[in-house]
Amino acid sequence: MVHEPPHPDDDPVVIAGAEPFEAFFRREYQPVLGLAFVLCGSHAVAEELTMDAFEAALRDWPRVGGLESPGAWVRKVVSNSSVSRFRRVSAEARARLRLMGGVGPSALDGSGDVEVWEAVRRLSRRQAQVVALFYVEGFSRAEVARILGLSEESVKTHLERARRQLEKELGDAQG
Amino acid sequence: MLKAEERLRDAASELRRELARVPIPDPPTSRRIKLNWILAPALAVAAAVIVVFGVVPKGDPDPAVTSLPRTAATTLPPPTVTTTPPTTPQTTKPQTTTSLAVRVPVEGPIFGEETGVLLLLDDGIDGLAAFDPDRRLVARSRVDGQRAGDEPYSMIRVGDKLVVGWHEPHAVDISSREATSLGHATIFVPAAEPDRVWLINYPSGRIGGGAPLVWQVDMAGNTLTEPVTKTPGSGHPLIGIPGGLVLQRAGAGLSLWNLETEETTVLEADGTGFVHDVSGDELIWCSGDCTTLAMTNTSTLVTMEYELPAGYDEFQGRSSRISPSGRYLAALLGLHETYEGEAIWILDRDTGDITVVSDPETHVDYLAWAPDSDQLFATSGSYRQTRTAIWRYQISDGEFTAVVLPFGGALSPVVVDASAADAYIGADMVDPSQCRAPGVQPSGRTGICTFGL
Repeated sequence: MVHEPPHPDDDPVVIAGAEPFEAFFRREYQPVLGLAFVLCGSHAVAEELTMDAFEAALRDWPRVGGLESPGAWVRKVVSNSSVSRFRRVSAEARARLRLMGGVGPSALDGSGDVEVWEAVRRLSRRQAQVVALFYVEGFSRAEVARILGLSEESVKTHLERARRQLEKELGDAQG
Repeated sequence: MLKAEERLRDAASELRRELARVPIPDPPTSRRIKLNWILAPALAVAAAVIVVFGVVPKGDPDPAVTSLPRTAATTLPPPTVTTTPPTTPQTTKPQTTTSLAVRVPVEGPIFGEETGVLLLLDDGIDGLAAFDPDRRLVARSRVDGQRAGDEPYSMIRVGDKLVVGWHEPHAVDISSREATSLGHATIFVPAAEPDRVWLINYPSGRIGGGAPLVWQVDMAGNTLTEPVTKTPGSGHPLIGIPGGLVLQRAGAGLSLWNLETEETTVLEADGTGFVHDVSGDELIWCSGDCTTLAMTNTSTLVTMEYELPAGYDEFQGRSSRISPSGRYLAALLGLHETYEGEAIWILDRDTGDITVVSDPETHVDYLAWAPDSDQLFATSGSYRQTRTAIWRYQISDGEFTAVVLPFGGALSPVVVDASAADAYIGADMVDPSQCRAPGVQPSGRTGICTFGL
């Protein structure tokens, strides 16, 4: 399918009945960046993945902006792309190019309890997504279920298994 | 509440506070997206041309181009494949399913026998971690000329030197650690000629920003070739081959560029070409999803192709290494789900035999041969982590050992003779907590801090 390129004068994108994209972006950027960072482990890569997701939302804003929760949509995109090898490699390559330009140290890298996030990233893909949404973003189990397209029961199971594994790893951690 | 959950909640709170301080960039605009709309049909047309006509589109601006069709490739007869499980070392604690559980022998050499080598592991910032497996020692120190970055080559061995850094690469004598500037250039890439590297300088200071100036230098920083400009249409320089450079062609394989004749030979492929290694005239490379590994003789242009063993998704990008003797070729095998090295694939080029070794509990990212060509090491990238997995495979006796060591901050290794240890391992021992991996540049580290395992 071939699309007509949007006209530069289309900015900012506003559609009837939906929140302006720019407001949506400014409200959701930081939490979505946090989600990407927890899942991929690099601030620079997380920024690329986050911008990719918002770009995808903007490209399809007439539809995405009209969804019940555009925020859930963009989180699902980031949740998938952060653990997708091909997209991560692509984002890493772009982040590398950007860093070569002299951008300073990234704020999130190395901050906080690094060991905890490393342990989260060693969980299964689904468990890590559930943990990030539940603990970092503070969503309820029902909200996590809606974002990831799972049943609430399934989210509960993933959370329980993730807690057990984290207890095993972090309780067992050395040095 | 469980202890881990409490830590998780605390870490999440702290992360939210950090996030609140992250500046919000300008939102993406239609203008940026417009580029995608323009590129997508163009790429689709290019792909269609390749599929329909089996050729890459014309337009390479180089004066003389020879295309090497894929039919020139030769596939080896089915090899003998041997799979070797790892030796399970005596552990200091019960082994768990986590890849980060420390797994080393209680005493004696880490790999159960003397190796006679020292692993110099790039720390990703401005120095290295030296690991002496025989004496169970790790030492961290800064390397003059090294700096944090994501350049394609950060620390390589060239003769008796390490070459490090970007913006102003340096050659560092392995024994004395004396550093010499090689000149100002964005990055360096290995040269096929002994004791030389190529310097690549992009006018923007960024990789890929404009047409780069390229020239070759020796380890004293002497310029050996006239700096020449490569046009972006020729692709980005990846590695040296005898008399020239390999250039990457986006979506279309590689080009071999000869400096003297200015001729370019295209190695056609359906995807972007990735270089693994060069040894003499032999170029190891793959393209696209890297389900085959190609060895092309850059003089005769004869290509051998090696198929991916069943159960794996790809030869990991840029991972393959030819042994110093030239007899063995090792590569990492990966899965799309993990994007890490799941196994080592080792080809004996004399016999065609292939050996695959793996450890089910750990992954690795980098390969390096010992100078004796008998020991092969693989390490996990442990930047900002607290554990490093190291695998050792010995060709002569087929012994394979996988360990997990309680230190992080280690990336790609260079394996040198243990006689160099005095320059990297200090006499005074400290507690590991006083010798942590650096996290920012400059690390501010002075001297050598050494701790035992």
